[in-house]
Amino acid sequence: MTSTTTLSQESHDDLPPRRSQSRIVFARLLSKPAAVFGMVIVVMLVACALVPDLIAPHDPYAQSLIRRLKPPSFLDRGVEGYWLGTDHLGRDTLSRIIHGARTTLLVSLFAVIVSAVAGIWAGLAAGFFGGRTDAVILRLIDMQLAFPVVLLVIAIVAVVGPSLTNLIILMGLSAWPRFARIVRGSVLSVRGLEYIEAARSIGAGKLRIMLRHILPNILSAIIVYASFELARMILLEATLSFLGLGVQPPTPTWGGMINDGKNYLSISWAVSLFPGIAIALIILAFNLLGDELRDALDPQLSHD
Amino acid sequence: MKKIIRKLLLTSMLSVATLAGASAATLTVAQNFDPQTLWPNGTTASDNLNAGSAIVEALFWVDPHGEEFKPLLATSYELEDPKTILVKLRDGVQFSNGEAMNADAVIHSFNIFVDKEKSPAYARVSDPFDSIEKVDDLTVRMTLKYPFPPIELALSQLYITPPGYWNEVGLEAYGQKPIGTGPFVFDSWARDDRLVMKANDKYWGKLPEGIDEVVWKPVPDDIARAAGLTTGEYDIASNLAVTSAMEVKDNPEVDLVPVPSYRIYQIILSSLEEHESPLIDKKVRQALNYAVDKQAIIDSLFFGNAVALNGQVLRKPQIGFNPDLSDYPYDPDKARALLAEAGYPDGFEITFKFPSGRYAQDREVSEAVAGMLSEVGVKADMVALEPGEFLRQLRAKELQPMAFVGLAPQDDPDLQVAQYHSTWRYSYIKNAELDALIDAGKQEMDREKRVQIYKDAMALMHEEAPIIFLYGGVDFYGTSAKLSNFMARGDGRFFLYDTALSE
Amino acid sequence: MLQYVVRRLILTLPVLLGILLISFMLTHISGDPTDLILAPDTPDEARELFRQKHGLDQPVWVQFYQFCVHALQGDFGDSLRFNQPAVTLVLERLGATTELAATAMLLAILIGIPAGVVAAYRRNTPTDATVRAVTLMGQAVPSFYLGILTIIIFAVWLRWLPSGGRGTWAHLILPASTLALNLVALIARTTRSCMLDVLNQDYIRTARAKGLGESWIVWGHALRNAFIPVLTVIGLQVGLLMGGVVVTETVFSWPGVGRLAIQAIYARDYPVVQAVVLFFAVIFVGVNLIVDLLYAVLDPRIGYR
Repeated sequence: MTSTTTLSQESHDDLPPRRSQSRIVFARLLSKPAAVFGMVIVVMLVACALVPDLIAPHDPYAQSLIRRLKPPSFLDRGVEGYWLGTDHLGRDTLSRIIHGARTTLLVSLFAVIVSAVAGIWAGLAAGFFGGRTDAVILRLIDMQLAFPVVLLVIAIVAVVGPSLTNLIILMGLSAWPRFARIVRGSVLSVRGLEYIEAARSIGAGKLRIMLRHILPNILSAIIVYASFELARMILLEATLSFLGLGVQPPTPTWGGMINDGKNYLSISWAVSLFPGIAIALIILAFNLLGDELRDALDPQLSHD
Repeated sequence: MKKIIRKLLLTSMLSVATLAGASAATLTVAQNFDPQTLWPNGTTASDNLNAGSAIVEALFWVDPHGEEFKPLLATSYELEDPKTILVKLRDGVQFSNGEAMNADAVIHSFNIFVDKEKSPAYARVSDPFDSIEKVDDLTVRMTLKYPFPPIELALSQLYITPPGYWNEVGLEAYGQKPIGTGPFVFDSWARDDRLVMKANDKYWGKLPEGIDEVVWKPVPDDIARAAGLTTGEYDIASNLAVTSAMEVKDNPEVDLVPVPSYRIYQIILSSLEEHESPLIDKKVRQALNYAVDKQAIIDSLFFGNAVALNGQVLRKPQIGFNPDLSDYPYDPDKARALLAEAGYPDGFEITFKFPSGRYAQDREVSEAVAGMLSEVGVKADMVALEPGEFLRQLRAKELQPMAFVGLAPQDDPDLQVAQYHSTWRYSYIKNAELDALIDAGKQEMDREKRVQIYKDAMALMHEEAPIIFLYGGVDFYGTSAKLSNFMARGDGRFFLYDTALSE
Repeated sequence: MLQYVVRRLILTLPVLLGILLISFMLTHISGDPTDLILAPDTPDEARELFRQKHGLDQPVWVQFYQFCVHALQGDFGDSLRFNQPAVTLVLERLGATTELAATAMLLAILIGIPAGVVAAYRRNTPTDATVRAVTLMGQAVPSFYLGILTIIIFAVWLRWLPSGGRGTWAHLILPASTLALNLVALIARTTRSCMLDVLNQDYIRTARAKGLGESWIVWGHALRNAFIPVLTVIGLQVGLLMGGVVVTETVFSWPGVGRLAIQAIYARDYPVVQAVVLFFAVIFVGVNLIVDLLYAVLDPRIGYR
């Protein structure tokens, strides 16, 4: 898709050594305010996900029906120490957002990994082998794209049960075609290039060619795309929560928190607003980072 | 550009205004779902019945005002013996296509009602009926297979359809375009959008005042339904969320009508041997009852708008309600002591299933209960179920060892407690003494004796604690202040008979 | 050209067949609809009659055979809840969904493409950053939440627009914009990056050198070339749009296929679910075929092979 057209145009005949390239890319990123903003948010998210207990002021599961639906502590009626207020069961919203970062990130990250791995293999196979393999994979891609994700999730969850793992796999499966398309497009564009031909002529196996010569060249396209996909997965989890199919309570996820909180919008807007802001920020961050990463990786654009 | 936007907004405001203006004689009702069929005996879903019974009427009805059993197309009934009922019909009633409402129409409707293939949804109440015969043009005699104490309930659900039209169009088409004797006649129906009915100017009874037209709209989202009520787009909005209700309460243009529901919320504690768990021990089941603060749930999650159960599954107005019983008090210490006695001083871990999106606040209540149980050392592993899967598991007896359910059988003690009989498909208790009481109550036609049987059953259930007794639900309806005398029943049913819409 | 279309249509057949097969399997493993359509206390006898009537008592492979035979004739069976042909139920609602989805798509294109062009042309300026941040926000809020917020703001507080339902075009504004906002970000971003590619091409430099007007270069020349990949992205979004319709139609009480679908899924109303899935698939495949054909119109270099 997009990133394919941009990135596959990289010239491959004079690839610089990878490490120095990544250093250049990183330096380019640091010079962009948008990228820095994105990175700061992502680092905060990762910190929350790794050590929520150190950061969160309260136990995210501690209920108190007396203390419920309190506004943020800086407002009237707010309770000292509950900075972003409490939810419908009196749990601290800030602590739940911090702990929710872990599940939210875990689910979306692994879902992206699942879809990327499945999509990369399918795309590599389709692009590299061509012919019948390609045709079959293309048909599978069309099928998946035309199939409503919600139906897939309901049907399978009903049978296998709604565990975190199942959710991750299902969400991941819903997104593999987009990766497959990108990879296939990229493979097609590099397949005929000289160095692949050269590798083939010295007798390198197909698998080896795919893994050693093709994959590294399309990795940047995949990483960029994955950053967009991560944002989409966070939203998908939220939508599944809205349909009652998200992560199990009481485990907090941002999407689930919005869904719970939306019923209280008229009484206590804070319950859904803050997780909403959290989601908006992180999606903004991932997307900005993806955009900037793409620009930074594209040597054509670096001239101006 | 700005100008255009302003213009667009102005026109849209105007169109909203005209919509509201034209609705002077139109009553707009917002329910969750579009009816599947307008033939009332086609389903038991209240959204279908509320719309359908504005056109098609039954022999009797249970008036939501005071829950009184009243004649409709029949004028009276008489039990000739416990298995024979003589029903007198109202004279001079016509269907809106001119067919006469008489014994022949009732016999035709009766035969469809008892046909389990045509009306499977009513099989539970139609089962006792055996046959019907015509005595004269306005009298029929019905025969029962066995005495059936909730006979009035059954008679109020037999809807009368015109045989000529029915035979001409068939069951399915009838449900899409019904003809009946009711205060309203079918006009048009755009699926999932609007169902329009006009007042029946030849109606045999008194028409609801000031309503020329009724428009039924399906509005699935709770917040959207409340929003439309607030803006005056709807005159009646059913099934409001408790949070919306609290908001509507302060709005002078809208009246809030809270109706205690027949739905009894409870936590199944399976004591069946095949469902191995600590819950097999009665002390553990009682301990869990002590561990849950029911009043706190009612006061906080429902803002006081739920009904305490008094430790039983029959409601106060029902026969058999046992006034000597009261809720298990909230007493975590006692709960811990009982758990220790039963051999679980440190509590235990247990699977707790609950539906997500089936009942009002189901997720919240379940989370609150799990939180309270953790206080006494019982760690509940929560498993949320999609509503469809939840219902499947309920019937398949898979909601074990512990699950949150809201059971709403029809308004009769037998239909209520039969669900705890060991032979019942989804009973999670097996108790010979309780079975005997339920069997006795089912056949007892003497009211006094019946009351005593159910009182005893309630006392036994309280002691055995096959469930955590949580609360009875409250349904919220919002109505425009222009609408008067609106009332609904605890099964989600409402009628327009005595309502009036003012300018 | 005709040959190409025919070939493409033949290629879509296995896709549609596969989708039918998967949707049959998924609906049938997700549970027996009898439990959902009849009250739990319905006696077994009545349940069995219901299952017989709808063929649910047959072995699954028999059901599948029956289903295939009928589906090939365009008959998906009667809805278990409505007792009407599933296809009729879908067709009745197709107009409403098309109206909503097409308006949303149009809206998204009308906002997204100019935004992307401006962002690309003013690359790395505050304008670029603002355009990107604003369009991204549309994608950063779950649509069910956005929908509810707009109802509260525009219907309840401001009283400008109706809270839901279908009727005048005023009813269309909130659901269409909610649905569109999710697409705007993607279209804007795609347009931006494609425009960046194109603006660096030699022929743009040539055009500049020839002294063509800057706005003609950007909006005419460059956009025309950047439009092709954007079109592909738009085509692929139709699938997502259909997913979005499910949520938006529910929140705004819009009488469309999406709402029918979600209610049918919850009730395990197999025939309706299968009919909806197939319709969505046909629309998806059709739109993408049109997109491919448009390629040729926009870029004569692409032939039909």
